[in-house]
Amino acid sequence: MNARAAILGRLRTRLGRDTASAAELRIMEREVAGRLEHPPTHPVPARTRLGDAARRALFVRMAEEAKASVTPLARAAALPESLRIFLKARGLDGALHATGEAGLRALPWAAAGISLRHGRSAGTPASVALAFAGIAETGSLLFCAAPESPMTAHLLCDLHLVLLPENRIFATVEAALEDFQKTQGAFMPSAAMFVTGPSRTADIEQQMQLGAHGPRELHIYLTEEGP
Amino acid sequence: MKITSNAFRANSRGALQDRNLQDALGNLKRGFQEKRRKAKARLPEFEELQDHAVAIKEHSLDHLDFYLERFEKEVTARGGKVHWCRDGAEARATILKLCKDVNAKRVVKAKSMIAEEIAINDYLEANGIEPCETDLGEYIIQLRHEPPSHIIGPAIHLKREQVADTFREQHSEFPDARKLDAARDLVDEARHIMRPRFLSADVGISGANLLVAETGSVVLLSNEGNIDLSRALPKTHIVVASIEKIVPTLSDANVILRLLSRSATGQEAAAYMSFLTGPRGADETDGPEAFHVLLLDNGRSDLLKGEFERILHCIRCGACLNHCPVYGVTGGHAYGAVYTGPMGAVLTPLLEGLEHAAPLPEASTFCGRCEEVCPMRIPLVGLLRNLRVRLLKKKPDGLATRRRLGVWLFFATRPSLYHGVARLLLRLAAPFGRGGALSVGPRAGGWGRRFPVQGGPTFQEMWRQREKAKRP
Amino acid sequence: MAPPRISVGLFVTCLVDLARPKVGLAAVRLLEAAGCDVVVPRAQTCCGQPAHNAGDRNGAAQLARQTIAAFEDVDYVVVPSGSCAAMLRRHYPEILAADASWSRRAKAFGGKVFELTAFLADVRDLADLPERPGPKGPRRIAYHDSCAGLRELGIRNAPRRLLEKIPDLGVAEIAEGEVCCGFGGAFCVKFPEISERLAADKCRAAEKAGATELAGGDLGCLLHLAGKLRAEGSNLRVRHVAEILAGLDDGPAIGEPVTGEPVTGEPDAGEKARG
Ligand code: SF4
Repeated sequence: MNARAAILGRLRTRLGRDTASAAELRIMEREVAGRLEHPPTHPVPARTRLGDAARRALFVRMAEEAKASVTPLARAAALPESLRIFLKARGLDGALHATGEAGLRALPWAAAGISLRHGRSAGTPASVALAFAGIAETGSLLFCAAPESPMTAHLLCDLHLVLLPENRIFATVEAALEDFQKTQGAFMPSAAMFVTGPSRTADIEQQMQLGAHGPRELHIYLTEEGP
Repeated sequence: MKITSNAFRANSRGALQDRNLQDALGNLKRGFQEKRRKAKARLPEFEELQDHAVAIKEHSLDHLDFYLERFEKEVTARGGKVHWCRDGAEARATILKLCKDVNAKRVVKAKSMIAEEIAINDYLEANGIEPCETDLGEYIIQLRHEPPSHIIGPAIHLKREQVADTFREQHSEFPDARKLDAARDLVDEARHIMRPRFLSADVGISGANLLVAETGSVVLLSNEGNIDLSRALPKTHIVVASIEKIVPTLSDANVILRLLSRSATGQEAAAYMSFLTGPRGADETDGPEAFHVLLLDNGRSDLLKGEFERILHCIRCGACLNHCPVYGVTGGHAYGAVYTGPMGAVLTPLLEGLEHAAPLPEASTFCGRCEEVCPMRIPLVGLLRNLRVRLLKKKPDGLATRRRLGVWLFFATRPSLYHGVARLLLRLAAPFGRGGALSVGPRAGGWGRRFPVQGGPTFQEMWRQREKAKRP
Repeated sequence: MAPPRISVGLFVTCLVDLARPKVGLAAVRLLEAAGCDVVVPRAQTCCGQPAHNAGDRNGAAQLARQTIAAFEDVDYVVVPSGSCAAMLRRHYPEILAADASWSRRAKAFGGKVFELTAFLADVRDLADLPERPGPKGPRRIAYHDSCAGLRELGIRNAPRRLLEKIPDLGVAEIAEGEVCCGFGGAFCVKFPEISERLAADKCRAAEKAGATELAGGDLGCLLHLAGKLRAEGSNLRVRHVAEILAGLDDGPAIGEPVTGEPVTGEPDAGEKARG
């Protein structure tokens, strides 16, 4: 017998499927299908049930607690200039790795003297990305794998610079994933990665060190007006 | 890993004498306990979420066959492949075959307890494939040829200086005189070593925190980002997961996820939480071209619907270890197995056989702190007690205990006889007890067995006298 | 207004009966002060924990039935020990759950079992402690919460509230007070080194609390800690909380050598000595 049949057989025996009648099994299957269709409502932290302004404030507070910085920008178009100043202060030239969303590309990069590189990254001092969503509950950013959004862009940089329009801040992980389903047509991306602060480790004497394998810093630019 | 749980007594004695270990354990307790307490206090819904999490797990296990098949269907529909494995040997063979199929030379591994359980590293190495652990703690113990001592902090038993010594010894490409005294230096060196390995690996292997039946997604948490790198860069991603990791839906998963990080490290959320579904999509420029999920049974189906089913609710948060007084002074290695602390004391005998881990169920004071902090409300004390029931029935381990209990029970179930004998014994003991203590049992020396006993009349005797005096 | 008198069966516990009868005397004194008619059924021995925790379900069930039968006629069963009280209250119903003729009895029985301090503070709402023949004057007492009492019965405030009724007495908190002292019944025999280390940690923490006395509600833990403290030559004196509450705290503490005559059977011995 192959392993699949053996394991399922054993599970069915333990679960008493072999002694259940066909009718009973049908009921059970219907119940499970029903539950998948309409999962029970689970508690969601009350602290996330907020109006827009308070939700934004919670996002900022939680992101900062996770050691990300949050810079408010009135317009997305102000991002390139803001990054020019930031990169200069860090002694970096005007080249940036970037995810390829049209909205991000369309910002006035040239005017700020920044040139963008796109596609899979093999390691770069700084990457700029457009987040799919922000999560107020935890201060997380959601990145969904897509041709224009390779995951390495978010992992193989020292400085992770992320643009997030305010109206993309959702209360919870559930709400953000639901939005993905609704707007992108696909049920789940090949990778939905929620990032909360820079990469970190406490494996040595329980001391928190930022920048384990991924970004050492995470800077979020929160715009009132999306790209 | 070859288990040495039967040597728990000797192991723990050694551990108590190990200064480095005792210092390291001091950090552990204070850090984790305090952080968890604060995180829980910040989430008023914590206990309500626990109720839901337990119900979700019960439901999932009650319908494990349905949900595993549904999971398989979804993974397949997304272009991934599910492999069913009865035991470690099947899992190892499957992984090796998948690696050989793509001519893999190098594998990057993200921390996985299941990978430890099936001891995949040694197996791959023996077959000419280089397994590179990428989680810092896991990497350190790989260099030191040690098993993990904690389910979420594999190198928690080590001090900074020990890690520095290991790095000096093994990283010969760096100058000897380099500075390595700060944790920062060590993290940077490991980061530097690991980057090219991620970039050159052929296969990435990870565990799974949860499997979502509805979508065929694998949920993975990490703080370092190593798991997502192990997935994003190699052409093949292999997930090894035990069958009880399944939950029906994304919304169910989120209930458990809200409890997991908070219970584990006291974080509101791990730095990286990923829902991985199938291989990379068309036109995506990174992510695996092949996505494999191994569903491992390895003894778990036997626990279903039995008196130990609740241990299948475990989400490997480590809270029970962090709060266990015994783990707190012995560390994980004393348990001589992959899973340590209270959950390990339950799981190891069940997976490996009670005869290979006989001391573990007894190595608990039953103080109950583990089950108090367990996010899944697993009755760990009760499960350990159930194991003791089995232990007692076993020859020869249980025989001596059975005899002792038998004698005691003979008297304890005959109150008149019991009170008479008690009275007599205390009379006899009185002269010895005047010094304040009696040595109970000859076995251990030193303070160990000195219990203060006074000798003299028993309470029952005093009470009878008083009652007699009251009567006219 | 004093609540009406009720009948209370004292479950002495085997340790108190054998190792520290004075705790039983103190419990009686306190219960009587709380308006209870106390009986001490002779058909009781041990609660059965040694069997239960060794995995001997049969032995535990035998003792459970014996204890339940012995206390059938009282309104309440009071126990000067958190772990034995938890055994009677929480574990008996579990142990006898499958026993058709006993499971209901076990449940009803469990419902009337209380740990001594919880009973005095919560059930009887004791206003005044009995007259104190024992020592007077300022003192600081570190309180050790035993695991079973704390976690299985939720006892934390009751002993503290009662102790604070004693004039000039302050309760000192032991850091990480919820950590086990390492007694664990058979555990301390099977794993003496671990047990001793946990006792040592607890003793250090208790000393640091800045008290001269250590009190608790479970004789098992107290004997264990007193043994360790005496072996170390510590000055911390160990007593069961009932002794202190009842004012029967003038004699040798747990583990101290007995001077003069051994304790006699008089619960009011102290009063006589004064008068
Ligand atoms: S038994 Fe409970 S506390 Fe321990 S690791 Fe599992 S889920 Fe966490």
